[in-house]
Amino acid sequence: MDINTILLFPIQIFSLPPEILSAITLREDSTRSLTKLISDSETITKIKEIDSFTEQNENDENDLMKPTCFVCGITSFENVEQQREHYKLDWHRFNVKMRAINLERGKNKYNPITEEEFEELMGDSLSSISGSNSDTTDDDITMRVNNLKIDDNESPEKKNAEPILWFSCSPMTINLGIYKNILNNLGENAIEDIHKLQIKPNEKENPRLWTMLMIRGGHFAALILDITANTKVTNAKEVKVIVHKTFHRYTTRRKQGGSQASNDNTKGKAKSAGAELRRYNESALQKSIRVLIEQWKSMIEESELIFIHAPGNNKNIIYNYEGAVLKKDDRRIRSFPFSTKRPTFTELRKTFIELTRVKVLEVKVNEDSQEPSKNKLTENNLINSQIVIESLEEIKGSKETPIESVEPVEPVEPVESSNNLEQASNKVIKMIQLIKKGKFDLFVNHITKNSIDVTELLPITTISENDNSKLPTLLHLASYLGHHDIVEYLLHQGADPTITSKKNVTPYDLANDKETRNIFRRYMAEHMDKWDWTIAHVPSPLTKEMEEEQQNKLKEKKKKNKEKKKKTTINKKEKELEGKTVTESIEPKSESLISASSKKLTSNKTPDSSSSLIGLPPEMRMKIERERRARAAEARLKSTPINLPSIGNVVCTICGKSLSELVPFEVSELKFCSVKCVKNYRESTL
Amino acid sequence: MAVRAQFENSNELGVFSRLTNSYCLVAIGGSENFYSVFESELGDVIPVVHASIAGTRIVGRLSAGNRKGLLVPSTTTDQELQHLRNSLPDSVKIQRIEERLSALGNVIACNDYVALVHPDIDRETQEIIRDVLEVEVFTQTIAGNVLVGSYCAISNQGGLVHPRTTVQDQDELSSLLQIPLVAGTINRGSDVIGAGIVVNDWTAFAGLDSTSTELSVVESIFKLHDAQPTAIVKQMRDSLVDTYS
Repeated sequence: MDINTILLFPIQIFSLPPEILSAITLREDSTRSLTKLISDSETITKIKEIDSFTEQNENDENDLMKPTCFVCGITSFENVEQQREHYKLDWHRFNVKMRAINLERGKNKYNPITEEEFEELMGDSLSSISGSNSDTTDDDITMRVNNLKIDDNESPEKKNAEPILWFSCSPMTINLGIYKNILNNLGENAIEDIHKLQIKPNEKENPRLWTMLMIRGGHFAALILDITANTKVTNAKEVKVIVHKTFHRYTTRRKQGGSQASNDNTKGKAKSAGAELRRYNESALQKSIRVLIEQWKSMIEESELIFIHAPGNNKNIIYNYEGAVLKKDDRRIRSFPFSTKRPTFTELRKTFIELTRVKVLEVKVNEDSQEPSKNKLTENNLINSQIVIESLEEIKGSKETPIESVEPVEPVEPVESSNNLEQASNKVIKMIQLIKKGKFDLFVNHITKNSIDVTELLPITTISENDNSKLPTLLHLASYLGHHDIVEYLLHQGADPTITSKKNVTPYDLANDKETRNIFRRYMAEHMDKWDWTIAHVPSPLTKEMEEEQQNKLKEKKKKNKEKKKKTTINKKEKELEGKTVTESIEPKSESLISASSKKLTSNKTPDSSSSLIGLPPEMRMKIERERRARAAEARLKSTPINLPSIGNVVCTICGKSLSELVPFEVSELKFCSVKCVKNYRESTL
Repeated sequence: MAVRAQFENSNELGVFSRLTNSYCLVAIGGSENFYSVFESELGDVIPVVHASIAGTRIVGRLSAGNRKGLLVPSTTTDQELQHLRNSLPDSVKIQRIEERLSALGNVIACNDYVALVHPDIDRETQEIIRDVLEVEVFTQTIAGNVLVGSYCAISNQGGLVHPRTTVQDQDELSSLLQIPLVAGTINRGSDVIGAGIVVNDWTAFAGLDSTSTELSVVESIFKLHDAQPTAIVKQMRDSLVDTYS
């Protein structure tokens, strides 16, 4: 059959055309993600072997029991001492912890890690374990355990991020995508499973049931359908179900969000009427769902697959209660491997269509190169465009070189040497990455390990055209990014600072900060004759003596500054003290009325004075205030009749303005600048 | 002999008392009934001490101890500690432990020679346990439960563990602890053994609800049938008679 005719209609997993079915093979890049899974299942079988072995042991030698540690999977110690020693090991503690954590999560099976794995896990810190530094060990173990916890939290589907397994059909230029979740073991023996999923026309008498169930935010939708009756459906409305049911209850906290139960659990029980209502509704919803599941029990038990979407606390509604029909560890239970909308009957039917439709990618093979990376994928109009885009990105991502800025570039060299070149360029790319991140130690390690010649120009292929013209060497790059330790290292390794880019720019020119420039100058001072430094654009050497001199100069400058500051502060203090003594000496002499008036005066003054001082630096403010105080004191001195003639500079009593050029207003021997001040004075004395 | 008792209508004696071979702590109750049960059984042999720990009466759950020492959590007040020092024999070391898991009775199960501890207990704490109680410390779970102190009761003679403990685990534990173990219940089917029973080498106190079957299991596994002063004569009689006849 022609591809085009196949692709005219959406393909359903239950009725793959025989041409495709016979040719279908798992694409290689999808198998890679499976290896982890398979290795997991291998360990499981190993454990089973161990179990059976122990059973045998028990049967064989009932009278001769050997000490064991089942947590770590050790079935026979030589003697009790060995067993006891083992129990004190960190390895054992780790396994016990992990098992406890697993049990907490409801997993009964814990695959103990072996001693080697544990040592690997602990890595370098192993040496510290047996030592006295017990704190770190403990932290370490808990840390590792926590890390593992995080790992475990990811369900297997998440681990191999792609929810879709891609298959190729060798003669045809299409790739087929099938959701892992509808296959057994998440895609192990995928081809076999696909064959099993096929529904032959004569099979239609025996119903093959699927249960689908969604609970979220007080909405519940469930259906059971017979897949044999739905082999050719392409539209959600055509899906034929056996039974279906939806419920809705008001359980979520409007505006605040979240369910009432989770809020109660975290913050304590809320007492509002709304909370009561939601609480009641939650329990009512739970009850009705459980009753429904109980009613459907026989059908659910017959079901081949059960799809469940019940995020968060919703899980407790369907699992873990007395007489629960659904068990968490049921192998038939699957999640929906894509995001779904509010649980409704139509949404469920839509998800069924989505789950069972085979995704098709058309692959155009580029004639010039045999590399699969050159394949271009074109969008097929039958497929959700979203999926195509995603998968395009995935494919692109897997082919891309790790460095961000690098784009796949056509190899310049002939095909034979491209492999070598690729390897070399990989090394260089890693090196560049390390420089970019400024990881000095790793960079040095990398260079010594791969014996890379740092004096070489960077190959053109590694950096896109633009970069290369600007930064032709590693030295350029390091200098540009300001990693002076790397610059120093490179210079000492013999990197040439005289190499220029196309625009005649040397590494020194690119240096952004003084420290980097100084490194060039320092190196110049040490190796005057090594390079022609004028070409390198390094202006002058920087010897140790010069640096010391500079530092000394700086120090002296600082010292001087300090002294200056000290002097000024001392002067200020002296002034202040003088002012204070003056006021103190005067106050006792002044008459009660005058002191009262002066108090008023200051009180009158303070508000506007402080307002005018806002926004000034504190030192300035102090200065101004000090002046003011002095002025006030003078005013007071003047106001006293005895001292009046002795003071030359006459000031207004209220506002403190100089009266030297004015004809003052006088009221009971006090002088004022204006009528306004007199008025103020009158008011204050009244 | 295993004795039935009740603390103010609660059958969980293990919560309110701690019994070892050299002392017995009981909670300060409203009535002296509880105390007098212990006093009548143990009075002439070991001191029975009224105590509170951290101001609470759940002394059994908060403390762990054996013939040689007593461990109390960091929440214990100085006054309480002083009282314990004054009341217990001088040979008993008392140590306050800084540990996150403060209910020591729940996380430590011990006799005079070995201790099982919760896997999350600090290494430092484990060392303190080893030094103060003079025991070997092992990290283990009981029937998958990390609260080893709650789910088992052990003496130097034997031990009673959580009813769901598998035979494999029992064998492993008994070889580790070098005492016979049996899985069973207390207080008419309760699986929190540690709370339901307190036991030392010659007496056991179980909750009032315990059935006679449960008590007979207790008596047989802890070897309490003939744990009287005369027992030694009875035990050795045959060999003695054999030797001297």
